[in-house]
Parts: sequence; structure tokens; C-alpha cells
Amino acid sequence: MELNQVCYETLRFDKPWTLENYRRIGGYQVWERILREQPDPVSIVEEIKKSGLRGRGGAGFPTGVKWSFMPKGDPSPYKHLVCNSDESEPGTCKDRDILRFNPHALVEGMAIACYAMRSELGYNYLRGEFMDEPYGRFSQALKEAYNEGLLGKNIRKSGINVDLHAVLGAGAYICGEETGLLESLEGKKGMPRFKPPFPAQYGVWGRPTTVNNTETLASVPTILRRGSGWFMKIGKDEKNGGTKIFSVSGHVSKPGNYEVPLGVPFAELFELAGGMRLGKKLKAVIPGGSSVPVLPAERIMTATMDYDGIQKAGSMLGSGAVIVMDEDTCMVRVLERLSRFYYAESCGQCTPCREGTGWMYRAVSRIENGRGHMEDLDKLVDISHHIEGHTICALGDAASMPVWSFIKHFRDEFEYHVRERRCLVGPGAVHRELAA
Amino acid sequence: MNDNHVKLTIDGHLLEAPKGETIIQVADEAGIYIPRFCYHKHLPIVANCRMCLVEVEGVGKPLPACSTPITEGMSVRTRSEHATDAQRATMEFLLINHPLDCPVCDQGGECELQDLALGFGRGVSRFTETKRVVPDEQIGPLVQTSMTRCIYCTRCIRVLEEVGGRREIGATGRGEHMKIGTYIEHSINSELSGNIIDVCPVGALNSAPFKMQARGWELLSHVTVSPHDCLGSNLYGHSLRGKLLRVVPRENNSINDTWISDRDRFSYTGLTASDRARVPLIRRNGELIQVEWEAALEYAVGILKKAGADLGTILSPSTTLEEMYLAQKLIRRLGSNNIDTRIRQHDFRDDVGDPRFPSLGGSIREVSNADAILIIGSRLNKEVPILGYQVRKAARKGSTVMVLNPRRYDLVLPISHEKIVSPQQLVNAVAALVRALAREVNRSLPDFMSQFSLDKEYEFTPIVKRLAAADRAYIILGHIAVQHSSFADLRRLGALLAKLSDGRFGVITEGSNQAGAYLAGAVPHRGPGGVPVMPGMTARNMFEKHLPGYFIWSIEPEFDCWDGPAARAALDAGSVVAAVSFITPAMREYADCILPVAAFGETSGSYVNVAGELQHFNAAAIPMGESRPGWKILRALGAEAGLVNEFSYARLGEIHAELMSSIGGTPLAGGDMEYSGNWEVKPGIPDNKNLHAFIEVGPYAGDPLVRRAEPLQQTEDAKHSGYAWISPTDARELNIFDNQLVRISGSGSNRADLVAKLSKDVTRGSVWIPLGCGLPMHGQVMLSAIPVAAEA
Ligand code: SF4
Ligand code: FES
Repeated sequence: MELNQVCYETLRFDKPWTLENYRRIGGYQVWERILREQPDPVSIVEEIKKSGLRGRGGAGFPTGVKWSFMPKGDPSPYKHLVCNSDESEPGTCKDRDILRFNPHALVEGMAIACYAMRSELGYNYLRGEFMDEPYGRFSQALKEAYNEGLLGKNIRKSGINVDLHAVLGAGAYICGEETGLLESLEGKKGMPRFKPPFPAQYGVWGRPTTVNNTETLASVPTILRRGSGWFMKIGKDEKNGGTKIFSVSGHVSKPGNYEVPLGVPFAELFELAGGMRLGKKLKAVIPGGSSVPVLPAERIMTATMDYDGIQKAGSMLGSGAVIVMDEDTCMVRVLERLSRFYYAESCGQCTPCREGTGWMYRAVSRIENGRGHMEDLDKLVDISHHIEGHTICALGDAASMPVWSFIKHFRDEFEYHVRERRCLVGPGAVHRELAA
Repeated sequence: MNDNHVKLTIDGHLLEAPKGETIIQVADEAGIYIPRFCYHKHLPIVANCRMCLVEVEGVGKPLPACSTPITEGMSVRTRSEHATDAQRATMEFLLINHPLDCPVCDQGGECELQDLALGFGRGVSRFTETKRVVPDEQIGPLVQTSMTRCIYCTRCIRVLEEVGGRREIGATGRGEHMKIGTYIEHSINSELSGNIIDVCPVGALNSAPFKMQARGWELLSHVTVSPHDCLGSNLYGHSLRGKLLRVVPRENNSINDTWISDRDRFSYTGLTASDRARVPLIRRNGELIQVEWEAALEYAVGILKKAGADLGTILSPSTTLEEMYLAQKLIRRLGSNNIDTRIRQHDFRDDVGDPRFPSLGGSIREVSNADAILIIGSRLNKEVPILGYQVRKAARKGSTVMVLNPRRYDLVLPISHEKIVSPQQLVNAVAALVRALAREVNRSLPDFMSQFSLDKEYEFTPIVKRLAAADRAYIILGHIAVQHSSFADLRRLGALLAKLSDGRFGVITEGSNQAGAYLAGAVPHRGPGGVPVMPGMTARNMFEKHLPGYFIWSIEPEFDCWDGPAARAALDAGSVVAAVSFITPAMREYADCILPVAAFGETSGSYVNVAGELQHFNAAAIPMGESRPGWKILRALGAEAGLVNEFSYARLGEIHAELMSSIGGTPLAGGDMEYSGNWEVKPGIPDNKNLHAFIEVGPYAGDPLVRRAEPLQQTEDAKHSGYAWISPTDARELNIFDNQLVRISGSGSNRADLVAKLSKDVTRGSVWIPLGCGLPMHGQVMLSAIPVAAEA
């Protein structure tokens, strides 16, 4: 299996982020050809559709189709491309490495996307925590691209205008949700908007906008350089085409980002990450960032890592953050931590999520701390089902899925906690009884 | 079927509705109730409460009815198991952190959460954690907060933004820590702030003056109309055992939608002021003594009759139509033609050119549909808050709002072009604008235009271009223009501007029934029905002349008349019958007979608003003490004067019918703003070294009732009006500092001692002073610092 063929291609060089190294892999060839030949933007959108590229941020919506939602007509500075580099899904760190090690791929991808959607103005919204290295690298790349005459007004006398800007967020999970991001980009408190209208009609400042994930956009130059067929074939099938970066974390020997073809068996990815740490046994995996249902070892070991494969196993590919847990992990404790995250990050606008996340966290926390009741378990599942699907954005779903899936797959551990007031496994198991 | 319509079913009912509507709108129209908290038909949709979740066939998850657009063939179920399950869940979430302190909550009984909890809540809570507590906000004297009760529907935020025009509160913090508030603690200063009380579905925002006064279900609701401005916002007066305890809006989509101003909402608190007139008083041996009504009426008629043709009658412009009609009937029968309601007007040169009645020149909806609006001489949002809201609505629809004012005011409007000129030069500036516009549209000017001086150049290009291009321009003259000493010219110029831009022209009249005064014959040059009659004296003349007798009605001349000191001098000299609701100390000195009149809310009657709409209202409370409804007093005075037959009305309706027969039935059309008269132009006063004082009528100073409404007097707005505002340049030259005590001396012995405030909003050569400070509304003055007594 070949690693790092698309977004991480420059990783084979020392100082992979330089313009020079990006040029060595054929960087900016596509963009320069577009500037020269000015193909029909529709042909680019079609090419992307054919490649099978789907949104890499989590939702997995076909990118080409999304692009085709933008209103046609003349190129305009009042249509926008927004790149979502808010990467805040717990466990995910793939976009950070694209920004650090291959920022030019994103710059070129954004420029191409702008052209394809007849937009003349794009923003890259980076999470506040990226202030130091990723933001610096990306800004540097932008500067170089401007200096090279690859961006700006009337680029190389082609009549094409593309301006790109980098914007830093201030550290809220919800700003990774596309409309929350748009609010934040406008300088407001990050609160997702009700849809419809979708951003393609009413986006940032009320103008047509497309929001794409960093990995999605950074894949675009390679796809167009090597052809949509090439890209698609790397993956499993036309619905699961191309490569995907998995951020493998947790109790593995070699945690890290792995760019692999979609459809690799989990076992292979697991192998790449060095298998379990300290010879422990695999207990469970959250395959797509903390917001997706957890899968017990036996289910994940037979799954393939692609949209359909993971769905068949009972979870979602999400952002590609693979969180691996070993046999000593107390699932109640993990759920307590996850619930606290959603409780703290709920934006607060819609009732079920604002009120429900706090309720769930407190109940799980009580169980973890030895003050739970048996009826709490069913109540928790019921609460989570009444948040899921009832909210404006997907944070409600994200907060719910861990709750019901943990209780579903590891109910015995929760019951043990309630009954014995201590953990079934791990260090908590040998400790004295928890608070009465 | 109309192309723009779609067919759908809701709970099995086949319905048809315009495209673009949402499920809840269609359901409301069809009388199908869907529970909601955040949705409000006059506010932007946010879909955050999730109470309105319904089942839509073919969609896996429940959808919010308030924000889901209808589509062809859609099948909606609002009461299915799926839908009610979602609604119940939302209710449970809303209640877990709600304090459920209904027994001590003022909202109890009229709480949307309480109502819906009855239908959708569980009997017993499953929530065993600790409830959230949120600290309260201090947002001023009008609104009481209990933020723990807040359910975060954000209606209050949206009301202040959409209706009030400024985002004075917002939500800070995330998730459960979200908090509705001002962020940095300060009062909410919108003149429409009280509307947050109505929209708040729970008891988080309640009326402070109404706090712990009564339960909603104990109150009787009465239809009433605002007595404070010319729009006549529709109100309900809520009373308990004959006492008016609360005022809330009554929906009228051609006037105030569902909103009212704070002035209309809280002015009732002045009804119980300690200086309320409670018993009839007459002067005997120099002393005012209490007498029976019969004795007082006899005494009053004696004064009126004695003055005869030389009687001067001055009524508040907020007097009811029926009272105005009876008052003029009485005094005309006694031989006098001197009756007026235009108490803050000084310039009556154009009375001959008056339309049938002064008006906005169109409906209020036409204002909110105008595509260019020019406001001249007005602090619009404080003068007529709801008209300010209507203009804001126009602006939101894309209208260009422009202002030409003698002082910079924050109108809380998106102003495209603003021109500030000195009040002395206002007329010349408007004339220059007329000239520029005529040039732009290539039309000739009437002769009188040559009388305006040309020595000052004004840059009006953007305003001129916009007016010329507008399809539906609207020129509005405000109170500052009406009170201006060149009002006649301003009015003629304003009308000309409208003509040149093929638009409309309107005047914001004072009081709530100025249009009615014309129709009732309560102005010197009009008889009943608004027909021209041999003119009597204007309010101004009556005070300048020193008549032998005066009949004043619901006014306090030192506050309410253009030249307070002159009015006072005239009243001191003549015999005075005062029919009032409140007794000022000054009144005790000059009045010879005081008849206590029922105040706002205590009497029935009707008003004609500035758009020519006739509106009736009922008494909501029992008149205080021995005071009587005005029409009954006038009826008795008529009988006492020997006009028994002519004043033998059994009911108010008979008076109304008699007047309407001379008006010629309803509905009344908007006034016609064409001018025909010819009068000498009074050009502006040159900007020179002379200082001129102008009175600013504060939003809560305009009439006797609001001046006594304690909560309103504690607002920032009321406090703001109490100073002498002067430009920093003038102050420097006069050696005046901010917050310094100054003496402003006018002609004769007129003078006022006030605290000076420096403001760049004031033009050079002018100082703005509060009502009732002892100076006329405009006059040349001297200003000097009052030395602070040397410390010992
Ligand atoms: S204070 Fe009232 S109106 Fe404002 S958000 Fe809370 S519940 Fe809604
Ligand atoms: S009324 Fe629809 S979500 Fe609040």
C-alpha cells in the first residue's frame, strides 16, 4: 500500500512546505494551465465529480455536486469560497499537518475551486489554536503565491481575479460547523444558522458561499494533475474514491497521520500505526472523531476504512480520527470526558442541545463517580435520542451518538459502575469504592 | 391554481398558500395551533427553541414548523406520535433548568411556558441534577429581570434589534452558560424597550411598575388609544377594581403592528401622582376652596360668560374629539371664536393655506413603503417612536433615509445622508434644497422662492439626486419644525420638495388629536367638520393679548405653551377656568376655578390620528376622586350656561354622531397637503455672534401625564433632557465648562439657571434647554457662568 500520495506528497522532502518543493511534485501546474487556457469552469466541476471526491471534513458530501450548487454567471467577488480549517473534532489533526507541511496544495486547491465556482474571493478560516505554526505556514504560502503572481487581480494578464485571505478563529468547536463558521467569519458569535437557506444561496455576508474542508481542497490539484480516474481508482469504488488521511490516536504504538487509499481494511491501518501499545488487547475504536458511534474491537477489526465500510459496521467515517482504546480503558470514564466536551462546546442556541448536553454530562459524571442509578442508563439513552435530529446543527447528534453507542456496546460496564461504584477495568477497578 | 401557490396538507386539511411561507404561517392562518416560543410573526425567524417540531412525511427527523418552507404536496402532521414526542422532549428540556417559581412570578397565568407545559409537560420531572441559576440584569427602571427564568428564545434580542433599531442586548457565553444581557451593565435605552416584556414568553422580563400588582386573570381589558402622539397606537388598558394597572399593545397592522412605545406603556403610572386634581376648587377671598360640583360649574360659567367674546380657550391637542367639539360649541355659543389646540406652534401665517386637517399626507403604511424618506426638523424616534419604527421598516426594505436637522440626533436609523444646519438657518437651508432639487428635475420655482436669501451655499447633491430618482419619496416635517418660528415657510417648502420629487409630504402634529381639532372646530379658523370660519385668535395671540378670561383644558401653560412666561403673565392678569387632571403650584396662583377632569384611561372618546384614521376608545378605569369625564363637564357647563337643549346629550355617542354629521361620515381620508395661501416669507436668522436658545421637548416631558410618570422620569432619556446643551466652541468662547451652572437670560425677566453640557451635536450659536425652564421655545439669549460661591 502506497502512503501519502495526495495531500502529504511533499512529506518526502526535507522542508516539505516550501514553494520549491511543491513545484517539484508538479505543484501549480494545474493552476497555471487554467490561467493559460481558461477552460470552462463546468468542466472542472465535472472532473471533480468524476473523481469521487467527497467532503473530508466529516459529512462526506460529494464535492463536485456541492460546487455545482453555486449560482452560475460571471466571476464575482461577491461569491465566496471558504476553506474550513477549524479542525476541532477531537482526535483529528490531519488538516494541521496539511497546513504545516503542504500549504501550497491548499492555496492551489482554493484558487482552482474559486475559478470553478466563478468566485473571486476566498477565505481560509483556521482555528485559533493554529495561530502559531499552521497559520504562519499558510500565510507564508499565500505571500509566496502572490509574489509569484499566482493570486491577485488580473493574474498574469489572464483577466482572472482570485484573492485569498487567512482568518483566525478564537477556539470554539462550533465554528467548525459550516454556518457557525460563517457567523464567526462575519465577526459574530459562532452559532449555526438554520438551513435552508443553504450557504450556496445565503452564505457569508448573505452571499453565495461554498465551504469545503482543508483536505478536500488540498486534494484538488493532484486530482486534476493526475486525472480523476487515477484518483478514483486509488480508492475502493466511485463512491469511495481516492485517499483519506486517518489521524490514529490512543493506545497504539505509532500514533500519527496516515494518508491511505480509501477502503483499506482497518487491520492494515492498525498495523501501520504499530498495533497496540504495551501488548495490550484492543477494546474499542471510535473510527471517525469523537462524534461518531464507538465500535467494539470485533466489529472494527473486520471493517474497511471507507464511507460505506464503516457505515456497515455501525458507525461513520467522519473526519477520519481513529481513536483506539485498549482493554484497560474504562468506558464510563471515556464517556464522561466526551460528554463534558459537548456540554462545554454547545453553542447554546437550541434547547435540546443546550439543556440536554449538560444533563447527560451530569448524569454520566454521577455514574462515573459512584452516584448513579440503574434508571439513569435508560434515561440517558432516551435523552440522547431526543437531542439527536432535533437541533439546528449536527452538534446535537454528535453529543448524542457517543452516549447511546457507549451504553449500547458497554452496558455491562455502566451497570457495574452503578452497582459496585467502581470501574470494571483499568486502574479504577482496584481502587477503593468511589464516593458513596 | 395560482402559480405562486402550493398545495399541502396539515393534519389532513388540504390547504393552499403562497410559496415561501413556512409551515407555522400556513397553520396559523388555518387555525391549526403549533406550539412555539422563539417564533414571532413580526420578528426574524431563528428556529432555536425547537418547540414547533412537526412530522413531515418522507423526512426522517422532525422539522421546525416555524422555519420550514412549504413545498408542493407536503404532508405535515402536527399531532402525530412522532411530532408530539419531539414537542414533549423540547418541553422537558426547557423545564429542567426553569425555576418553576410560578407562584411568585408575575408572568403566572399569562406565561407561554406555563400554558404549554400544561399540554406538553410531564407531571413529574426526571431531572435530578441541580438547576441552573442566572444572576439578574439591571437594565433600567422599566423592565424587571429574573434571568433564571429565561428560556433563551432570543425574542428580546430580536425585538430590540428589529423594532428598536439597535442591538442593545445579546447572548453571551456558550451552551448552558449562555446569558441574555447587555454584556457591560447599562440600561436599555430604546424608546421601545418595553416590548421585550410582551415578547418574553416567560417571566424573565417583566414590567417593573407592574411588579406584584395583580394577576393577569384578575384584570379587565379595555380598548384604548395612545394619548401621547399623533399616531394613536392601539392599546389595551388593564384594570383591577376600577384602577388602571397596566397598558399593553393592541395589534393594529396599519399603525403599530404589535408594538408600542415606552411612553404609551408606562405613562399610566402618572395617574396616581400626588398632585392629581380630585375635587372642584374655586377662588373665594383670594383662596382656592373646595366646593360641590354645582357651585364650581356655576362659578366657571360666570367667568366664561363674563369674558364673552373676549374669552380665550386653549385645549390640549390630546383632548378627545367629542370634548373638543363640545368646548368649541360652548364657547362659540357664548360669543367667542378664540379657541386653539396648537399650543407649541408659534407661526400661524399660513392658516389660510391649511388643508382640511394637518396630516401625514398618506397612510402610515405608505411611509413604510416609501423608497426615499427625508426627515426635516425632527427627533423622530423620540417624538413618535412608532413612526420611527415604521421608517426603520422602510429602511430595512431598502429605503434611503435622509435627515435635515438643526441639531444632530441619534435617530437609531440607518441614515444615508445627514445635513445639520443651525436652527436659525433651517429655513434657508430647506429653501436651498428646494432650489437645488428644482434645478435637478428641471422645473421652475414659484415666485415666493426669490424672497429667500442666497448668501449661504449648501451641499445637497446626494439628497437631491436621491429625491429626484425616488419613485415614492416622502418628506416629513417633525416637531422641531412645527415649533419653529418659521413653520409656515418650512411647511410650504416641504410641500414643494414633495411636489418636485413627485412624492408625499406630511407633518408630525403635536398631541394625539390635532387632526381631530381641525375637524371638531377647535382651532380658530375652523368650525365643526373642518369648514373655514371667521378666524378667532390663535393660542399665541390669546396669550400675547392678555384677555379678561381664559378657559384652559388639560394643559400646564408653563410647560405646554410655546411661550411659557408670556402665557403665565396673561393668565395672571385674567380670570381663569382650568379644567385639568393635575394641579401645578403655579395653577394655584392663577386659576380661579379648577375643575378636575378624568385623565387618560378614565374616559371614553375618539381621536383622529395623523393619517386621518378615526379611532374610538373606552374608559378603562374610574376617574379619580371627584373628577369627571370631560364631556360630562362640558355638558354640565352648557346646561349651566342656559343651553339646556343644545347640551342635552344622554350618551357620548350622541355627541359623536352630531359631530360626524358635520364631518360627513367615516372614513376620513388623509389630509391634502396643497397650499394656496400667500404670505410674506420670513427668512432665517443670520448666523452671527448672537446666541439663541431653543427648547427641546424631551420624550417624557411633552404632556402633563408623562411628566408625572415616575418610571419614565428615571430613564436616561428623561435625565438627558434636563440640561443646557451647547457647542464646545461656543462654550470655549464664553468660558463655560462641562457641568457648569450657567444662567441663560432672555428678554425681560425671563431666565433659567441650568447645568451646561457640551456637545458637538449642537451647532454654533444655539443652546438647547428643557421645557418649563422659564423661557419661550425660541429666543435670543445671553449666557453666563454662575460663579460657584467661594469655599469658606
Ligand atoms: S429573556 Fe425572555 S425573551 Fe429574552 S431570551 Fe430569555 S426568555 Fe426569550
Ligand atoms: S418556534 Fe420553531 S423553533 Fe422555536
